[in-house]
Amino acid sequence: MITAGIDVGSLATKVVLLNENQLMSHEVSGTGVDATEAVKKAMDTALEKAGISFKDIESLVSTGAGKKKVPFESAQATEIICDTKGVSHVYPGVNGVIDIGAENCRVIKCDQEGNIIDFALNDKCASGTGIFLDAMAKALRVKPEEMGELSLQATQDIEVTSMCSVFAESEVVSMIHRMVPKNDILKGIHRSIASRICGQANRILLEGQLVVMGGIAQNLGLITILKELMGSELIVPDEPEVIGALGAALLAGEGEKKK
Amino acid sequence: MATKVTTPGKKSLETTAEISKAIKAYYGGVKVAKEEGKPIIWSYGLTPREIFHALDAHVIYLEHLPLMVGAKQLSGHYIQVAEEEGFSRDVCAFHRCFLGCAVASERDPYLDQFFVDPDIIIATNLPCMSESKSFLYAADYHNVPYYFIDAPINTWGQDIPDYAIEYYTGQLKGALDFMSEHGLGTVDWDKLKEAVSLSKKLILLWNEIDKCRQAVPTPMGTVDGLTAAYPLIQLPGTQLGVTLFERLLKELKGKVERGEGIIDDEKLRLLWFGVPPFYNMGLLNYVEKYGAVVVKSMIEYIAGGAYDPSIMNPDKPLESLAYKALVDIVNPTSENMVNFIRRTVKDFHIDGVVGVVKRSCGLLPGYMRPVKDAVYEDSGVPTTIFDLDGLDIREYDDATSKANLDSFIEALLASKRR
Amino acid sequence: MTTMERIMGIFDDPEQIVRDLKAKGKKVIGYRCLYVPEEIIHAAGMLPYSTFGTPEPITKADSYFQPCACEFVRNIFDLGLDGKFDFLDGLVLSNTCDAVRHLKNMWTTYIGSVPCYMLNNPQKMYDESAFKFYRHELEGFKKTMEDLSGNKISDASLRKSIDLYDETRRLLKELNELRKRDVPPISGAEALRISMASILMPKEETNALLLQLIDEVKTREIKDADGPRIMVTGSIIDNPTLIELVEDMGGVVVADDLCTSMKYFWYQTKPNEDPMDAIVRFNLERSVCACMHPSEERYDFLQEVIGGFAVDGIIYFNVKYCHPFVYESATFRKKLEEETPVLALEVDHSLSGLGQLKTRVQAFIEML
Ligand code: SF4
Ligand code: SF4
Ligand code: SF4
Repeated sequence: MITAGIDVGSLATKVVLLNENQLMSHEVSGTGVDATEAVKKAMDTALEKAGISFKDIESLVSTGAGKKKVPFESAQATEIICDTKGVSHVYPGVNGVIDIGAENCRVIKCDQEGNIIDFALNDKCASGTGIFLDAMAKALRVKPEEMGELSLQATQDIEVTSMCSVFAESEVVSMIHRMVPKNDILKGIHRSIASRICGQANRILLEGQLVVMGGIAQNLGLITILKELMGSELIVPDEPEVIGALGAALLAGEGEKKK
Repeated sequence: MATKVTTPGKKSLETTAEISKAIKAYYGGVKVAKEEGKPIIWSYGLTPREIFHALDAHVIYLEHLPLMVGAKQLSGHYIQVAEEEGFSRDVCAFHRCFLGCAVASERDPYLDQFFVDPDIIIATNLPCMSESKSFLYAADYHNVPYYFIDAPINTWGQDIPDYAIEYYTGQLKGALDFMSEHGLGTVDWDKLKEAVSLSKKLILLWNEIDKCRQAVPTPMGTVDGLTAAYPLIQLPGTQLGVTLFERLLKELKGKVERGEGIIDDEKLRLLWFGVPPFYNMGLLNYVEKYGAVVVKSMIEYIAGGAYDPSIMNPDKPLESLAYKALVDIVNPTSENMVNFIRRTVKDFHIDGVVGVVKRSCGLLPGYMRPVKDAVYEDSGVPTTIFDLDGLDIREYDDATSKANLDSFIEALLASKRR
Repeated sequence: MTTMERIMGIFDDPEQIVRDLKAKGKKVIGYRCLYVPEEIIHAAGMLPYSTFGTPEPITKADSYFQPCACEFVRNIFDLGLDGKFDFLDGLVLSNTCDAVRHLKNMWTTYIGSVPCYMLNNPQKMYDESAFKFYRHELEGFKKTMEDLSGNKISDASLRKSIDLYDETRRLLKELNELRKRDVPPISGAEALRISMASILMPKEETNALLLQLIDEVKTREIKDADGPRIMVTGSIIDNPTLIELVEDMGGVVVADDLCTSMKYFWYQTKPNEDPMDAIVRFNLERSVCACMHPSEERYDFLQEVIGGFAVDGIIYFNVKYCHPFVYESATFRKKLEEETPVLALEVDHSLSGLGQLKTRVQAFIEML
């Protein structure tokens, strides 16, 4: 059975196609302003890569903040379910998931069979998520994708105390004025986000072997501090952003979510 | 980014509509009493309502009024007023709201129907100590006499020692004498006895109502339940309370016999722990699209009502009230609360517990983890915990709340399929 | 080494006291807070040990307490979870606020290593029925301490303990009186350190040291201090950093209203035939903190100190989510401000965000 998973995030849209739970193709592209259009395009590319056409898909599940914008008839599922599905498929037996997306941060605790035991979503404050990092990158005039690397070159520990992005930004600006080296500020910023995520993970007593997914998982600076703070083993998949879509596609294969 | 989409709760019962009218009538009565020059009492916390019936007392219950203001979505404004007076966002939104109502230079017409200034304040540290200090501000502001009833916490379980009963009885007696000295007439002990006996009737009826609600499908969810619980808040010791509960019981019994639930296909039964969003009770109906019903909420007991009625002995009115205050779940000892929730989960066939943290509450959030663990250990029923301030609409984020509910219910459904 | 240096040493490593005594087989009982009579623990031949917090960030406790419980209580629980209080033979809490009530329940449920006891003190002062109730509770507490220690507490031994503690309080107060001088010989931060070290140490030792210290301080060379005279108040402050912050900004901290400092030693027990009754009255006829009713007495105390110590400005450091103090300070503030300027701040017990505090304190002191 050919199934599809679509994950419409606020920044990136991901599509995964599976045949009998085996990967056929996947595609990641920017969501932009028109999510519906983005989904169509990502789907077309994924179909082309797999060499099949849309009508070959037998079952389809969509997830993510923009799941309602998916232009095809599909079942819907929350990120919590899809993340867990995807992670326990690729890494059976792990104890949990940390999913750091653009606007959300989710932590999930699961058992050996991949059943959800507990989870916690971030509150409406964005200080532990991607947009917070982006805002800081802007304030510091560095490229978001370089932030992590640079922070690893810091020579001293400084504290960014404001948790709220608005205040943090002015705190950072004042540090720039005081000529604090950029790398050190970046480390401070990463530490502040990491401790925020760590706090969220603590709320559900998350520990052991964990998979970090979502776009931000590629930020090595963040992962390094997170490891240090949590004392857990953190696994970062090669393509951490598609795990949710993979989970959705797997869920589509479970039969109940026929399109 | 926060979305503010609010809908009122969808109620399904006839009696709850009647109860809503009774609430308005009650406060209207207080207003009239004030106009007639009778002294008005502001009562903070869970002063046993019954004692007021021993006197000609007209009482405003300060933690109740914000619920009404909240349901009309007016709470945000008054909370703001209190904050401008120097009250931190961290202290209870109910108290902030109330203080805001008290000091606001102008009140909207809705609130004005009910609101009257106090002549006496009777305060207590039950259920929460932390907020019991808020009355100080009001007493100072209005420059009125106040009496503080100290309620010991229950460190004994079910075996309350005599000296504790004696202490609390003395506190109630002190309050009665105080009110008497301040122009509320002499204490009528017969009336007090009658109040205690009516209060006992009320709780017996409530227990029967609870039995009905245990039925699958449930004839009454917590959206109705929160209004229905009003007699417990304000009318213990009155015939009106008893009459309303009798009617409610009759209505529910009929529904149970006919097998009528509040939704057609009841798949999941939820228990709400913590303060629900009074400005957006529609959130509790939101889960119905999954076939889920919020059957019960701990907040229905906000004014007490989870105790064994046999402790009420009209011949010993004050002792009975003391006993009740010590063993009820509103007495802040987690053992009682945890055991009560354990029982509720079993008796009401609950599939999942939704725990909402009102950050400005010093009491309820502390129960979340012990309740979660106990319920899971007992019945394998999971609990989800997330932030939601039931009164301060400014803190509310609809999308986040719904995302939490969606995720929790999907996980519940997935585990049901297993 | 001067006496001052010795005392500061104790403050920096409070557990050294315990290590030595434990090695000699003495039992140590942790307590929080002033409504737990140390005298009864002492009379049973054990060391009462005040559990102060640390400025560390909270970690594990966050999965038990929600972030809206006061950080002080979360910090104590965190330390408990980490086994940092495992040296205690018991922990006694008193019925002060909802946060502490939950601490009791959490501790009993989740920390098995140290037994926890809740002393159900009334929250009402000057009330005959409260005296009676508290007396009953204290009898039960006394029995528990006797069982734990294996020692009987006689009236005579309790009397002796009371006298010993009264002497500590008297000496601390004597020392504190020196802060009334135009140029106080000890800084506010030093005063807090001395008081906290004295609270921690066995009182036999404390009293000897305090006697020496008073002499030493009287003849101490002091720098001129001409900044405004500040009184610090608020919920528990168990770390001198905040006081130092005020002094770094040029304020001279001359007095406080803290349970870790002046409120610890301001009052003495009153003569009473019955030592248990003496304790009952002592605890229910003084107002240590905002957890008690009525509050008027606390307001009078503030007034007395403002006058006596020639205070120019008051700074409230309320621990975030400490409800009793938030309400009380909002009520007092209006009245206090009629004569003395007040700055009300909310602080994290873990002392994060000091930068923003600094700016506000600085502005306040400049204004004075
Ligand atoms: S129990 Fe919580 S919500 Fe209720 S009055 Fe107290 S602090 Fe407020
Ligand atoms: S402020 Fe009060 S309750 Fe808090 S530690 Fe001090 S004495 Fe105890
Ligand atoms: S700081 Fe305040 S809330 Fe915390 S324990 Fe002390 S009195 Fe209670």
